[in-house]
Amino acid sequence: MMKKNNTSPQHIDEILASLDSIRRAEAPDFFLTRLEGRLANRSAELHGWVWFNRPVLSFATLCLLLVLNVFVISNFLQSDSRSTNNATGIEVFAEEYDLNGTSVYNEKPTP
Amino acid sequence: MNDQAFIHALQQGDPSAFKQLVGTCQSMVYNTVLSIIQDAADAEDVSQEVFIQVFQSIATFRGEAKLSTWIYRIAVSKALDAERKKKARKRIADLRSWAGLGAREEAAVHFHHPGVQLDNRENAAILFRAMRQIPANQRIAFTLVKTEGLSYEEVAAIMNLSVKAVEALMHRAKENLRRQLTSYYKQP
Repeated sequence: MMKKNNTSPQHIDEILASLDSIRRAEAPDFFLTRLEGRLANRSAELHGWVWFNRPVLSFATLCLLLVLNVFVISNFLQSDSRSTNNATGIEVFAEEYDLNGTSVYNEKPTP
Repeated sequence: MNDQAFIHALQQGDPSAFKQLVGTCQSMVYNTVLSIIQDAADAEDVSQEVFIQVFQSIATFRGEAKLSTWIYRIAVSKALDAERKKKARKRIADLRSWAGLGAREEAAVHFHHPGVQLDNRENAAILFRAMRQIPANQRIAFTLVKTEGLSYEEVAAIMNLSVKAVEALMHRAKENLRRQLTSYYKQP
């Protein structure tokens, strides 16, 4: 675009008035068709999540998560105490049959 | 169908009412968005987002303003959001090019509004360029008055301002545009 060095007030006024007879730009062809396609895509995307917006279902999911958490924690605590019990059991067994490390090595070799 | 019944149909999710609304308002929305963001491809995209927003939030429309005023508000806010995002992307691209990580983005070219008469085409392009340099609220008022032909009362309702405030915005917009145009012509 050629730029004429024209800073006269009349020229500036002409530029400011250049939108006075403007017509409204028309929306492109098939605007509605494309919009409908976009809305269909958007609602399909939302459909996967919309069930979560229902309070009953989100509350049920929350409860399920809580139960799962409690179950996992109690399982973990139980297995911990069981492993402690197991360790004690092994020690008792070793002592009873005199199978601890020292006793085996202290044994005199048979001629 | 009167206005109240039409709005009720829209709120009930009536597809034919929504089609009618798009048919009636698509050029109003497209022209507003196009005049603000000055890019035809982006304007169509943003205009569609405007109608998606209308579709999704029509249930919250209480009828305190006219339906067209409410749609204009959404159009203006979506256009300004899109423009902000575009500017942010441009800044990142400039930074990347400065760091040698990408090509420099082309400077914005002159925008030619399709509704401008041929003999005014060059002057209008210069005016649209100057409009990009003035504050957003002045530009919105100026754009709605000049390209949509709205009255100051209508613009006041859209911008949630008094008519006096819109008059002041228009006055400042014209002053700033004069300044911008003078400096544009003074540049070598």
